[in-house]
Amino acid sequence: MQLLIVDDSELMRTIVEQVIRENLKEAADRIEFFHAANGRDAMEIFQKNDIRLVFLDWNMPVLDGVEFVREIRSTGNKVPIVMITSVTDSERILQAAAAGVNSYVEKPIRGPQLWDQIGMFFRNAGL
Amino acid sequence: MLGKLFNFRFRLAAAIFLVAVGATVTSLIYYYQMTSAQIWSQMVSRVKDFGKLGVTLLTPADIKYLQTLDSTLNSARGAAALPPGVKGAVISALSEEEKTAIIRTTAYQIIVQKLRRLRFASGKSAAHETILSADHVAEGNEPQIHRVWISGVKMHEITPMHLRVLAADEFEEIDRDNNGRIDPHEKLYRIGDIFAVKQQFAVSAALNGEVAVSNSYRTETSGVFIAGYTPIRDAMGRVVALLVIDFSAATEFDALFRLKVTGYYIIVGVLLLAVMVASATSKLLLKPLEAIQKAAIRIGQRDFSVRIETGSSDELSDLAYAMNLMAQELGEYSTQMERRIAARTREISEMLEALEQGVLTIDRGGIIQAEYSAATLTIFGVKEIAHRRFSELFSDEKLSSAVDRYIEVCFSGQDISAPMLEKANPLRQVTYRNAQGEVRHLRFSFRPLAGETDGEVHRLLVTVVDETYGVTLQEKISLAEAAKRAEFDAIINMMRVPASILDAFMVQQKEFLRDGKQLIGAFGSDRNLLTAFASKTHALKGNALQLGFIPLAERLHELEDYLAQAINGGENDSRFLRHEISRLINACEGLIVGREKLVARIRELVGEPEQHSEKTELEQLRLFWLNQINRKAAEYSVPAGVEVSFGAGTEQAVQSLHNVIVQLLRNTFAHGLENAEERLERGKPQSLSISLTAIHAGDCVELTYRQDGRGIAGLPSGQTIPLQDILQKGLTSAHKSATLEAGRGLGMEYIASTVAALRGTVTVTTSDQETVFRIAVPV
Repeated sequence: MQLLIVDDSELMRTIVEQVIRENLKEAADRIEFFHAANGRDAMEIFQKNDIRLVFLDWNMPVLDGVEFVREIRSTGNKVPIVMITSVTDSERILQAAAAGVNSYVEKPIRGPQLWDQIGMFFRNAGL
Repeated sequence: MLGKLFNFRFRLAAAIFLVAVGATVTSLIYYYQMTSAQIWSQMVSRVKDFGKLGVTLLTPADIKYLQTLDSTLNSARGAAALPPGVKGAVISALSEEEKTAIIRTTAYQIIVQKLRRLRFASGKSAAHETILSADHVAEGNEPQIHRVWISGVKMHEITPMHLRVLAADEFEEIDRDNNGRIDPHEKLYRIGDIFAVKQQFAVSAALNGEVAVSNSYRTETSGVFIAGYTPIRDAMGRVVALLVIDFSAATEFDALFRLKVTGYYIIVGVLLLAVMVASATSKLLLKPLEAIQKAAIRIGQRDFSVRIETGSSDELSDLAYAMNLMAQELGEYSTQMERRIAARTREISEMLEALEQGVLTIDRGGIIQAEYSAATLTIFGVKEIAHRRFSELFSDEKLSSAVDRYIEVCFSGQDISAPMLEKANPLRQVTYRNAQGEVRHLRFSFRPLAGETDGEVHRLLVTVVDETYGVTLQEKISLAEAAKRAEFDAIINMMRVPASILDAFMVQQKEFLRDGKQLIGAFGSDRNLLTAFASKTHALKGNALQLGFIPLAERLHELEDYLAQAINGGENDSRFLRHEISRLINACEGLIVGREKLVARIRELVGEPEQHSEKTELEQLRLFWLNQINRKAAEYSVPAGVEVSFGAGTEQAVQSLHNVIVQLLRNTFAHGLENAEERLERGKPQSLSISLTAIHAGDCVELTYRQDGRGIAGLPSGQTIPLQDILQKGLTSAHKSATLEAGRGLGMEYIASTVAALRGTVTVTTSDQETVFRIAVPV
């Protein structure tokens, strides 16, 4: 399974990957992690690979999270997208939901809570 | 309750009644038994006397004649005449002519005369005539001997069930009672007649030579009889015949019957008397109890003013006194309770009122449907709500359009997680001024209702909770605590992050400050500088947020706003922006922490950070426990000074005692904690001090666990005691506070048994100042 983590912060990407690895243990070896620091790079990786799950930051240079989602959804792709962001106001979250984001995790992220919210995507994928 | 009283009274009366009646009936039965036994024995001796007298009257010649007669009658002809199996039937073995011939002999007549004389002797006066005719009537009453006759014994020898008449006191049928007919009892006993034996016992006794009497009354239509059998012996002393007397017991029987009837009258009389006495006595006894009972009933009906007069000075008046006290106490308690319940009810009803929910549904077009809960109208302050556009309820245009968009998303059929939908909800928490001008704090939640057939969302169920009164200060406090806790969690989470990332954060901060100062120095000259700095600020904000430096993140966020304005050219002028940006960069500088400070903070919160440098096993073990204890303290939000030191050569012992140390920690945190005041009172520093040390001495490793929390209750203060001894005496947990973590005393058991398995020893010393466990295990 190929998985894409998009965030301009290396720290964030590391934490997300680490939480997934810790919770999945050996099964994590079956995941190929792709990292991207902005939406443009992410789009490139997304088009070249068979990405099945996306973790996405909102505020990024070059192409921001919501724009990235709109682009993907406009092609009819239904890949699950989890937004990880410090944005908390409902108006913007509503905007993300309307764009086609499936789930939302609030920053700062905490291991157990993050897993509670994203674990089901891996269970659905049989991991 | 009254019924029970009567039950008790009834039982008391019944007891008295039974005693009275029982005593009377028992004595009556005894008296009757004695009397009837006496009468019987008198009668028996009379019958026996008459029997002996009768036998005495017979001369040896008479006896010889009877013997001969018996032999004649017992001829083969006579015996053969008895049909087999016949009982009680009177069978004559002789023809009438033969009988008449015997009767006419002088010898026979002499015997008959003697029998008649004997019979009349049992009457009022003996007969004095020389010859007594068959129809002789006694003067006054009928003689008590009803009939007297002599039975042969030969017949009996053949068939023991039968006797044969040799001679009787009469040979003609006489209507003795003058009723104009011959009744069965007036039937003639004829020579040679054979009778079934009715008194087998008495007959057998007589045949054996005893004067015998039947052992009970024989009741016939003609009266009540007893029969006496007296043996008649020949010169050799052999029993050759029996003198049989039928003795009327009518008089005695009458007397006994009258006695019985009198007894019954007495019993009935006693019954009535006993009922009256028992009833009266029980009433007298229960009168004071009844007063208490009535008082209890009134107390039961919540009349606490009742008091009982406590006149006399017996036990019952003590009871009445106690009852009065109780009534008074109950009265006071009840008044208090009522007041408290009233207050509580008011609170609860207010809460319920506040919690009343508005429920309504809206369709795809955002129109409110006709069904909604009554509370909805109160909340919105309107009379009718159906068929309106839901978003129109909110006068704020921005909010109203957000609601419309939210409804649209809810109906979009897109797979959106519930937490996200909840977060996107613009009405999660709103302060709402309703149509009546009332300000209310409302919480809306939306739930899509899918159609049963197509699974598509047709309606949205909207629940409105009015929290105007519900948002209490307590809740606000707990929210603040939760936020603080979240900060801790963030830092703990960060511990998984490699050191390189932390270093990068440091560098990032430094670069930010350097670039920031550069930007201020050349503000407005280079647009690229601004964009680059904005990007750096944003990145730093994200990391600061993740690492839990919230105040820094907040300032960086503010800074971002101003930078965006500077880039895009907002309504504020550049001088103002420069000033604000400069102010914020300076503020951030104050909040930016150096590596030492960061490490110190992390150590304070979660213990030593994990580092990737090579360490000895012992050092890793030490760091592990340091971290564990610090985490435990953070979990319980307890400030703690932790010291862990392991001497060389103790690794194995410490590892084998791993679970023991876990137990010790659990006990410390589950039972040993004190609040700040308690610690102050006992002269202890504010933070809990825990030390875990191990040293290698001789062939032993000594592990010492020391904590200055609350001591273990129930143990002598300051004494060093082997743990095994405590457990044998039965240690109960110091506080009755069994939690998931500890509290059932099993921890201590576990420690003792684990150390024992390692062939080690454990001692404990405890006081309210500190508790020390010393564990020694051989290596």
